[in-house]
Amino acid sequence: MSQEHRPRRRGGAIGRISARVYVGLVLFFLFAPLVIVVVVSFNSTPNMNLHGGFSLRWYRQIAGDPLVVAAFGRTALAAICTALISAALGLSGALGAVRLAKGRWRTAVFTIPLVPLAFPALLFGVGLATFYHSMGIGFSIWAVIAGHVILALPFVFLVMGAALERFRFSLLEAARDLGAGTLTIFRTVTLPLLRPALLGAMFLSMAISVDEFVIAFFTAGSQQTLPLVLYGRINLGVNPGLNAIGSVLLVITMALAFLAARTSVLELP
Amino acid sequence: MTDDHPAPVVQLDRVTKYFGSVTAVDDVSLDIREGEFFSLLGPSGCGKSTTLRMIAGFEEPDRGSIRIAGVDVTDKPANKRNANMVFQNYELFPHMTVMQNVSYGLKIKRVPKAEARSRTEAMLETVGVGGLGHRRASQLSGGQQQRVALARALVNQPAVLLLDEPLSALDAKLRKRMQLELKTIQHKLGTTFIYVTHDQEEALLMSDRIGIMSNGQLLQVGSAREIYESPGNAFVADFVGSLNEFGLHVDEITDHRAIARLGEGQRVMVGVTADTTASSLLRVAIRPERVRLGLPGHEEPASDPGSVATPGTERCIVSGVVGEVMYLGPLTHYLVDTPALGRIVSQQLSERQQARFSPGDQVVLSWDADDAFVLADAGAETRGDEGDESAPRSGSPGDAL
Repeated sequence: MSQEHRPRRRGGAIGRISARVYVGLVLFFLFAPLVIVVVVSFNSTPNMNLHGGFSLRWYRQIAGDPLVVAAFGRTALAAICTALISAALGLSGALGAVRLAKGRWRTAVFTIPLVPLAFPALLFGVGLATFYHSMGIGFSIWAVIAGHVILALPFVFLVMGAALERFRFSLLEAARDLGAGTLTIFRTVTLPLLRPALLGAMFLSMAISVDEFVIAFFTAGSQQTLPLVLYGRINLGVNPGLNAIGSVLLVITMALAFLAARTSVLELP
Repeated sequence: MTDDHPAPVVQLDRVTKYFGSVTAVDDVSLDIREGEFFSLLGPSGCGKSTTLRMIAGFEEPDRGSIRIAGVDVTDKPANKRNANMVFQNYELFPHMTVMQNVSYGLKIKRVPKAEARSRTEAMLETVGVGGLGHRRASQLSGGQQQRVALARALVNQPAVLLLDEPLSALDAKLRKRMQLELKTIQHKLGTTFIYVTHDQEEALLMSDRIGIMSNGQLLQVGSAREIYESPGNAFVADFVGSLNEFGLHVDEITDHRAIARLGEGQRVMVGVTADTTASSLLRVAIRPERVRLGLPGHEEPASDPGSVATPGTERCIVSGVVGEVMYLGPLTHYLVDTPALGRIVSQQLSERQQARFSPGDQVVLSWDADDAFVLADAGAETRGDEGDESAPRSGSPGDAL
C-alpha cells in the first residue's frame, strides 16, 4: 500500500494525539478498576500486593460459603424470570404499539413505556418498598423480580420496537392466505423471525437484573442477591473474597451483554 | 352473456369499498369463469388491487358480496377461502427453505407428509425451480423467487389464483419470459387466474378476458380484441393502446356516418349514433397503426401490401408534413403535422435501410372510416354515458381526454 492512497484526516497531529489521549483515558478509568478486581481475586495472599502468585483460593472460599451460594441462586433466578417476563410483556407491548398506534397517538404510545429509563433508581426503589409495604406484600426475591421487570421493560420495548420497524407484516398476510390462523401465524412466522431480537432483549434484561443493586436493596428482605451480599461484606472490610464475587458478577454481566449484542446483530435478512 | 359458459368461479355482486371518504371500489359486479385467465387492468389507484384483496379476504367490502366456487365468502377470513395469492413482493418466508415455503399451506391443511412432499416437488418442477428446494428464499434470484411464490400458492390447488402485479419487480427481458411461462402454466393446470396489472400490453398478451378499471369502477369487460378494437368509452380507448385524437366539425350526416370535408380533397368520416347532428363537434380517435402513409396523389401506396383498403369501406384522407420520425426497432412512428387535425401519429413497420419518409416530406394520411371511432360528443359533455351497454358509467368523458 502506498502512502498516497491513505485518506487525509482533518486536524493534523495535535488532533490525532489528543483524540488518542482521550480514548486512552476513558478506557483506562473504565477498565483499570475492573482489571484490578479480577487480578486481585486470583491473588493467593489476603493483602492487596501481588506477590503471592496465582491461586483459586478465594473462589474456593466463596463456593463453600452457603450465603454466597444461595445469593448466587437467587440472582440467577431473578435474571431468568426477569428475562422471560419482560420479554413476553415487551414483545406484546411493542407488537401492539407498532400495529395499532397511528397518527398523533404514535408518539405517546412509543414514549410512555420508556419513562422508567428517566426515573431515579433510588426513588423507584423507595417507592416500590413503600408500595409493597402498604399493599401487605412481603419483601422477597419475587418482589425484586417485579422491580427488575419494570426496569428491563423499556430496553426490551426499544429492542423489539426497532426489530418490528423492519418487520414485514405482509409476510403475515401471506401466511394467512395459505390457511394459517392467528396462533399458527405467530408460532410459525412472527416468533421465528423475531427470535434474534427477542433473545438479544432477554440477554439484556438478564444483564440488567444480575448486577442491579438499589431495587434489590429495598425489596429483597432477607433473600439477598449477589450484589447485596457483596455490599454487606464490604462493610466488614475489603477482602479478596469480595473480588472473587465481583469477578463472577463481571464475567456474567459481560457475557450476557456480549450475547445480547451478538444475537441482535445476527438477524436474518 | 350466453349460457354455454361454465359456472363462474368467482362472483362479485355490487361490491363497494371505501377508504375513509375515498371510494376505492365502486359497485363492481363481475363473474370470473372457470379456467380463464382474467386480468384487472387500470392505472395505479384505480381499485384493481383492492378488488383482488377483497377476493383474497384481506379487505372487507362495505357493500356487496363475494362468492368463490359457489360459496359466499364475504364474511370469511383469508385463511378460510379457497383462493391463494401471489404477492407483488413474493412475501416468501425468509426463515424457511424453498421446500418449507411451498409446503407451508399443505402442512396447515394436515396433508400427509409424503403426499405433501411429492406435491411440493412436482409443483417446483412445474414452475421450473426443481432442485432448488433446499435453498433459502434469500438465496434466490428475483425470477426464482417469483416461481417459488407461484408454486407456494398453486400447490394448494385453489379454486382461483390471485396475482397482484407479480412481474412488476422483474427486469423487462425476464418479465417477457415469465409472461409466457405463466400463460403456459395456467394452460397446463387449468387453474382460474385473476391477474392484476397496470401494463396494458401484458394484459392483452396474457388474458382470455380483461376488465378495465378506473376510479374504482369497472368500465368494460371483454376479450383483448374486444377491448382494443371496440373500446366502450374514451378512457378504455385511451388506456389500452395509443390513440390519435382530434376534434371534428361535422358537415353532413348520412346513414349513421358523420362526414367532415376539410378542403383540397381531404375528408374524414366516422360512424356516429343516431342523435348526432350536423355542425356538432366530435372528439374522434384513430389508432396509429391504422393510419397509412403515402405520397400526395398516391394515398394508397403500392409498395405497402398491408395498405390495400377493405373493399366497400370509405377512406379518410388528410394531408400533412412529416414532423418527426421515431425509430423503435420493428416499428417506426411518423409524427405528421396536418393543418386540418393537428399532429397525427402513423405507426409503420420499419424499413430495413432507412425510413420511407423524412421530416419535411409532404405526405397523405389515410385510414378506413370504420377504424376511427367517436370518443365523446364534445357538444354534450354533461352526459354521463355514451349509450354503450358495456360501459356502465364512465365519469365525465372530458376527464379522460
